[in-house]
Amino acid sequence: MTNLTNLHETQDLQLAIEGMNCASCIKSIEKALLATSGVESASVNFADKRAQVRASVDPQTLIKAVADAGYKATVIHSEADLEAEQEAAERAYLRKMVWKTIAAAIIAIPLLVSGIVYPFLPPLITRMQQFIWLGIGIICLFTMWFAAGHIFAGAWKAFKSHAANMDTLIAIGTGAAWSYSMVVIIFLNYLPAQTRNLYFDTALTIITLVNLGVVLETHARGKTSQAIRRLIGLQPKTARVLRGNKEIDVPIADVVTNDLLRMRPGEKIPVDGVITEGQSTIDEAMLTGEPIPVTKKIGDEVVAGTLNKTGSFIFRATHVGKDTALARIVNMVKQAQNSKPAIGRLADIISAVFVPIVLIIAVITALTWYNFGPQPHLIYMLVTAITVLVIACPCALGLGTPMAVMVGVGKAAEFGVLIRNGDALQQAGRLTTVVLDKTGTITKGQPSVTEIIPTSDYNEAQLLTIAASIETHSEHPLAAAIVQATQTKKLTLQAVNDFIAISGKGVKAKLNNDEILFGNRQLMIDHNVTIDTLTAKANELADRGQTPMYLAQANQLIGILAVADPIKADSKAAVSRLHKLGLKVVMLTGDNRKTANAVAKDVGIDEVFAELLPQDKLAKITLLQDRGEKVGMVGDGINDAPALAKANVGFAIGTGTDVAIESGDVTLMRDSLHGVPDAIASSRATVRNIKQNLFFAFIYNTLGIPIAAGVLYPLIGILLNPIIAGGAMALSSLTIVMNANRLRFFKPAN
Amino acid sequence: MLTIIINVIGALLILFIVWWFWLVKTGRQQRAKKGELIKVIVEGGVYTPDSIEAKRDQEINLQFLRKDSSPCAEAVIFADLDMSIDLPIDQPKQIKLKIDKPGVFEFTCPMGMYRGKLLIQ
Repeated sequence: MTNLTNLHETQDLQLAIEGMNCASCIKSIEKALLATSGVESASVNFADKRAQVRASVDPQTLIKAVADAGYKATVIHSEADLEAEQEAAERAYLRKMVWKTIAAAIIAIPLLVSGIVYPFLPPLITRMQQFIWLGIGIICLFTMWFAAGHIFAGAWKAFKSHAANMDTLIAIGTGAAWSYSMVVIIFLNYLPAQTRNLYFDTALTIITLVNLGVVLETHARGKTSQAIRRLIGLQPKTARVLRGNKEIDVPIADVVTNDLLRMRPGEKIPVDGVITEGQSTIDEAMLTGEPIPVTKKIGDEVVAGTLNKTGSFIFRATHVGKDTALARIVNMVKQAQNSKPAIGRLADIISAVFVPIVLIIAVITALTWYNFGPQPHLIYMLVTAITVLVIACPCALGLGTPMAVMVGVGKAAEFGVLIRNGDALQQAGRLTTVVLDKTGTITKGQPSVTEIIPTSDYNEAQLLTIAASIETHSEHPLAAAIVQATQTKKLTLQAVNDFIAISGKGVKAKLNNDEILFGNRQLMIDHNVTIDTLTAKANELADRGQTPMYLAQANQLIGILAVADPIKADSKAAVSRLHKLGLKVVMLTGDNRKTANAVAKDVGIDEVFAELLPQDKLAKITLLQDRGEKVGMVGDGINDAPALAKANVGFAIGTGTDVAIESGDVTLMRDSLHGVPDAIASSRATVRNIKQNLFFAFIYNTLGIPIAAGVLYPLIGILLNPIIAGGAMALSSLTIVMNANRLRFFKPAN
Repeated sequence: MLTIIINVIGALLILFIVWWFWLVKTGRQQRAKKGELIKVIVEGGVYTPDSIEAKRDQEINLQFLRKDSSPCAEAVIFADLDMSIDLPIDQPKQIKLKIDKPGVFEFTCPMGMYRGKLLIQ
């Protein structure tokens, strides 16, 4: 534990408080904390039983102060700790359920064996046998109390509250089986011989199967949240902080904004920050899906959860705790995992009224068998009613959508695709057209010098130096690209005089008393510069989507420099994947038509809207929607905000991890168009999985309940055994969880 | 005679189910007062209270406490508000809401077994 007293550093700490039971406890704890030397502020929240403390003391001192006041405090470290606590609680629940299953099975199996395989238990005829079976009935009752006490308690609580759930059905079904058996034992001589059947084996076996189903389902459910656990697990538990002249390892919760942290090769970055010393390559794949490590140097941002590969560096913490990009991603994925697409709403409506309807069906079934069934009426009515109750599975209906969304959204996050909610997930799968903004989406968004073509008397470096020396005075966006090129090549600029910018044509200035002209064809014509020797080359460059600029010295053409915003290496492959998914790809751009067409042709775009003003983009989305298309718009999430909002699904594409995470329906963490087909393919796979689950749940219940009620009996003489019904019920929800888990192995086709 | 009795009991049972589960008011309604913290217990398949009345634009402070250890109760979802909160066992979770339009806004567990509603007037 960090000794903060010695460091005199002020920290924000969160303490979990136990033992608070009234509002007055708040005052006692706050008073105890504030009385501790070094505590600047302390505020206790009774609702979440936490204390927020700003202090420059050892956390143990705070824990002791709270303990002296009569309460127990523990330091809350991080989301990962909370998650670990939750996992421990789930494991305890699972262990408890395993024991309950074993207990029920220990009694159920001998009863079943005796009833079906070898009758080692006595028949129910004599008074002595009545006593023996009474004893067995009581043992069964105790076993039911231990193994299914939670089911009966849940059913009772729900009943008192005018609600009904899965527990209601199981409790009534197994309770009826046990109660009837006890009636037979006690009133043996008053009942007709053919009705003297015992159903202890049925009750216990159903409970065994239901519990076993819960165990398997809980185990399988744990896997559905693997993705979020992996994300949370990305953050290390400690950080190496520089304080004074010391380097100390502190818990992650103790790192505050502006702390300096040292990173060594192979370590995970604990919080977001900016490099202040050193450089390294960072693997961001776990967050963005980008497989190639990125080089980071002084002034570059680093993100919590990413891996420092090769170098050692120091960075200043800018975002800690819940403000880190990782924490925000975790939060967004969690929110999305719990949201429901419209497709699941019907199942919700049905499951809300499902259990009372099943209860009514069970009563109607019982009455039908009593009035119209064969002898013994009482047995048939009991068996069919129990079978109806235990076969019905509202859980299957309820689980279908959330399980698939949980796995699907988590899986997408692994590819660097953050899906905001269930509706975005459903809509993304239905898209027919994807609209791409050119600059920054298809292209890198960073114009650069692509070609330097000097005439015979000059070389490339001379040409670039002259152009950059003059362009350094210009504010044109392309000028920056030319100046940047000289910096990359470490060329020295020369002084120029009499700089003039000629709007729409170019620039002119004096260099060593020679007049320099740099601009388009019209600028050269206006100044009687002959450009014939390079006209063909210039046209060829324009056809390739580049912007050619002529450079003349003392009225003599000395060469051409071409500037272009290069297409991202993987844009063409990503567009091809979109085509394979059956989508039409449209490009929007403010650029001139010739450049736009050249880029579109290169990448494989189906339709181009060029020379657009920003507000026109919105109109084009509307136009496409009016044509009946479901439109997904891909943009940077800032400049394209209105168009992203208007589209059926807005994809905000990021540049690494500095993306505005919450800006789109779908956020692509990687600066690659491949995120779009990844997102669409993931969504389609998830929605397909939901449909499979819902189809199964509906079919299971709509076929299972009538069969349990005995509709096949008049036709082919088959009546379902309640034990088989119980097994089917347990398997049905397990089947759905397992089907949802299949999504964990989903991989979008390249 | 037995036939009549059994049929009458059956019919009464059906009427009872309809009345008990659908027609009776649950008694778990609560009106949100200004600044009041409403504690919602998540246990036994029901939210208590499960019906919370509030006025439009009124700040509603809810505190969910999950006592049910089964995974069904692990989150509460406000589907219409596009919001969800994880509910760790025995750890109160607080949420502040302000809804600017009247209507019924349901909150449920992920499986839709636990059900509650916000009635905004």
